[in-house]
Amino acid sequence: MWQVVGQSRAVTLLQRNLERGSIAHAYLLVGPPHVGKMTLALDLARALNCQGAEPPCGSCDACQKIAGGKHADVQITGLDSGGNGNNKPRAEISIDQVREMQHSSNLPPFEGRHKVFVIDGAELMSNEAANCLLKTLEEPSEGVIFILLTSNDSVLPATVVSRCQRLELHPLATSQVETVLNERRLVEPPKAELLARLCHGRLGWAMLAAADDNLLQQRAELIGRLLDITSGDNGERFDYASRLAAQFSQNRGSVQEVLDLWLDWWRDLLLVKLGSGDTITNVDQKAALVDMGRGYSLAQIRSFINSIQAAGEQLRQNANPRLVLEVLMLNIPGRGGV
Amino acid sequence: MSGRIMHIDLDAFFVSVEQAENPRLKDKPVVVGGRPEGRGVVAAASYEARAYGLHAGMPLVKASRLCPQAIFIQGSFPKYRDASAKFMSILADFSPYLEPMGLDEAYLDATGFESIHGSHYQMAAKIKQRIKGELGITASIGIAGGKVVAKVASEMSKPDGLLEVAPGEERSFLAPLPIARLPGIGKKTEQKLNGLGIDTIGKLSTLPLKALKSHFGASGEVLHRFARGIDDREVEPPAAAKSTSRETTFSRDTKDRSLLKATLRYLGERVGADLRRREKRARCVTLKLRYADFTTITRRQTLSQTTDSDQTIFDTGVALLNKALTGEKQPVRLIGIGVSELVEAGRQLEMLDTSTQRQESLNKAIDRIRRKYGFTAIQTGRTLRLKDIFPEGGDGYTLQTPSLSR
Amino acid sequence: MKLSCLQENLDRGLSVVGRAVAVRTTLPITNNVLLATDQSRLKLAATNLEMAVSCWIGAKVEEEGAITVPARLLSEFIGSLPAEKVDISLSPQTKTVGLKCARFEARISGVDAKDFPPIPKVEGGVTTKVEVEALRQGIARVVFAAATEESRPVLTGVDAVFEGDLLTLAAADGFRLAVYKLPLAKAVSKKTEVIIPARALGELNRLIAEQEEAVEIMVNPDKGQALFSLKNVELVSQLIQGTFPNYSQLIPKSSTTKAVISVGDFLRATKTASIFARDGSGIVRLVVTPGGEMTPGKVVVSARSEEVGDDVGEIDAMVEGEEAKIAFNGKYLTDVLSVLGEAQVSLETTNPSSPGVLKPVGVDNYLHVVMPMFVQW
Repeated sequence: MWQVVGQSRAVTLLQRNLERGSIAHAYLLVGPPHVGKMTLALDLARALNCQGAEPPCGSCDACQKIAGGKHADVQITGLDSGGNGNNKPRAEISIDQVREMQHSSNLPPFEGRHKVFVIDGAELMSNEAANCLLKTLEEPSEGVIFILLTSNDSVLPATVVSRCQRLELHPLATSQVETVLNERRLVEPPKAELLARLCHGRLGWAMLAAADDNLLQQRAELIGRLLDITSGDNGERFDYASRLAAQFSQNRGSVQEVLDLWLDWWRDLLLVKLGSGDTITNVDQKAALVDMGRGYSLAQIRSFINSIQAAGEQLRQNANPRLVLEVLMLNIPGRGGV
Repeated sequence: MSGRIMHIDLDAFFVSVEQAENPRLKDKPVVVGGRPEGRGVVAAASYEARAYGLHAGMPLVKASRLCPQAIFIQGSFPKYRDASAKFMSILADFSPYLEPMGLDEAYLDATGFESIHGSHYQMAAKIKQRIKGELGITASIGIAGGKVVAKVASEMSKPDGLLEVAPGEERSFLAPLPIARLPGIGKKTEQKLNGLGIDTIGKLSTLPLKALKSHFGASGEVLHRFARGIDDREVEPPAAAKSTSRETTFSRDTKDRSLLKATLRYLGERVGADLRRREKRARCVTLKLRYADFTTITRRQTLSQTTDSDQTIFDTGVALLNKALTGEKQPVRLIGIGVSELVEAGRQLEMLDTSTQRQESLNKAIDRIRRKYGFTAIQTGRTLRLKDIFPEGGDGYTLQTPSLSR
Repeated sequence: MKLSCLQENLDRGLSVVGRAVAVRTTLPITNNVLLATDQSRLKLAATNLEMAVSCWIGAKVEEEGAITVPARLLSEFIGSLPAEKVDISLSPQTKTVGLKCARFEARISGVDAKDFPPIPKVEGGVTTKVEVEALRQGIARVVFAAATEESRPVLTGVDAVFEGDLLTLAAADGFRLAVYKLPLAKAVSKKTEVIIPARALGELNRLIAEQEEAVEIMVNPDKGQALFSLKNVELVSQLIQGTFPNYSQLIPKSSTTKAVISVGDFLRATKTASIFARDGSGIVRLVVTPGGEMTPGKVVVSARSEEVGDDVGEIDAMVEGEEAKIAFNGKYLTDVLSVLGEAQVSLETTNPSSPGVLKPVGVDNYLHVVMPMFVQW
């Protein structure tokens, strides 16, 4: 059983490679965070080392060890792997980590049939690390498979990308996520629907949120903040902009999440106003959305959605975050423009 | 204090070299440093130009405003370097205790060597004569018991002067002079001292050591001694150079990575050629960047194996450059690359892999061609871009201000 | 699991397997040591996935069982105990190991033994046997010449060719090559060539330091594993995949100068010179001069440093052939001279940029080739 959900193109291709014995020495799995890259990588690792009749069987020792991260021949390297002794968080995947993999890749499998090296967040490799890895990709050892995972392969050296078979993973349909959540009985059906919509096709996120209430709690806080700011005055908005800007310098991703949430919210407003309330993301907030929607005209909402998108784009292009966020705050429409 | 120290200083060195080469420049306001509309600074000004208030370090634009009739010359560092080498070898004929201070200045310990020439004064006169005869330029010489007074004396005698301060008269010689004359006193110190009512070196010499120390810390003690004409620093012949570097200022601040890399390649090749000429290898590569706002950074990388290879110097420099420019928003004004921790150029031969050996013989071959036909006779693809940017001189590209582009 | 054993035995056993414990790893359980009952003995095992060391010690087993516990913690605790009986018991529910010795008692949380990477079973390969002294010599004389950096992985290993009743060990790091031949106590059925990680061989040499019994070796090149069976200890090494360079062509066939020198004198002179060469590139210069009718030949060993000064040492030598000048990295000379047990060594050279060959005088089973340094004389 392949554990990854959806991604039939990628799975079919890998299955065909397995059947024909034409497994590549290196794969590059590209897709947004939590879409299933690691799951697919581990599926492949299991298929390559499975002792059962129908690999990946999921029940043999090898499959279970790989799933539990305990298999000697399946190594996952990322920012937080390979205890470097001082427990300092890394900013990049270092050349030393790549060298460790290289060293190991020249030794035969310890317990399985194939050595599999998964590089989680391949775009985080330092230049030296990527160049060092290139050498191994150019002269692969027999039976060794590298699987690089990334949400952004445009920052990887082209030389590395060209040595890998590239597979794209796409977000799932909302209904598909909901079905999985219900089938696996991870949450009650209403929550399953909410998570399915909130995750935007990234099953991994929905599963994380199902397991950890914190994520939903954070969302509730962000929505609360959004409502406060929208109804607040310019002073509060500027405060928020500067707080977000400070946050941005620490953790870019967290600010993008805020913007994503804002975007979802204002899109929902639009949908509610247009009468397609069934397709909204924030299904649990329908009443609040309907209520808020009364205060704004369609044009206002549309224009602010554009502002949010523009802000996200400008942040990606390294514009001054404080300026971008202040402009965004200034663009919050005034109530009563119906 | 029995020693006799000379300070020999060539007058308006860069300009004098140009004037010696081209007599039409004589007695005219001449500025070396670049085109008047350029962004560089005055590297040297003739005495005639100085009369208009021009001085070294002044932006060229300002210089051309103060003295529009001045003749502006680009200047050529290799030429000055050759002249300097001749200057030093003349001095070395008089005493082996020679300490060059830059290209155009040196201290000479003349103690005991005067007997050949009659007296210290006569010895100095002969030095001036030989410099004039062989280089066609004038020098000013100060003679005293220590470096600091010798330097003040040569400074006072300029141009084409010769001034000896008799033994024991150092303090009284300095006493009437304004404090700014004393080496080691910069603008800030001068202002501070003026604030204390000190305007002459004599007054400075009467200040108690304790007071000086409380104002200037450790350097107060040095001031105290210098003001009394006491200076027991010896003339130290330089140790073999422990590093070599090249740098240049761009005509316009730039963020263009390929231009930065091309320039780095060119500068790195010159550094590599210098290393190989001196039969040295380096363990450390240093990158220097000055940004538009004049903040200057240096970044160094120690290599696992010593090198004299252009490629390694360049690769290391580019890695440092990429790292330095990550997240840097400012354009770059100046770029430089250097090597240090030099060791004897033994090269470990390889048994299995001959790629580094091939690289080294390639570098050697390029050096040979360049020695014969000039530096730009053969170039790596990357530096070809520089053709559009820098004018080509006889010995490589003429980079901006020669004082910087060595 | 319930058993008791002697503190000294457990302490020694832990130090035997200790060096196979992983240091940096993506598989945390390899920081642990495996404790398992094995009939009437206690088996200790550790692996860093490159090699695995197992060791058996006598124990009184009351209840079978197995567990893994953090290796450093356990060996530090056991090391601090008095030399008395240690009682070990495992609580299967909590996976906690209780340790009791004299009036000390400790509990260490363990990790399930079934998560421990299974120590590879080496079978179906070529088997042989080597006298321990010969193996010690062989490893000591080649292992230091292996590469320590990973740019060419095969060079981090020692090439081992088993053929008939001869084992040839060779190591090279690109600058030097060491080749040692030793007899096999039991001839192999077919010629077999493998590359054993130098680290594993170094560890093997440590383990056999105090052993007198011959070492049994089983090699399976297809599975890429080799097993070294010692007394109560087994070392399994993963073999490096790849082809070792054909080094026979790197060994000079002839020379123009041959000097026979006292190993002790040569080593002393080189070490002294190396002190002066330290801040340079480690360059040690040799000038070999043949003797005249009345004078002995000599080798002048020198080094110079810009900061410190220079050093010149002269040693007597029997020199055949022409005068020679050649420079080496001092470390490469001291490395090889330090492992030679013989009284004299011959140094053969051809020209300043061709390899020098060192051979101990009186035996013909070892040779060491060093690439010179190109210097200005």
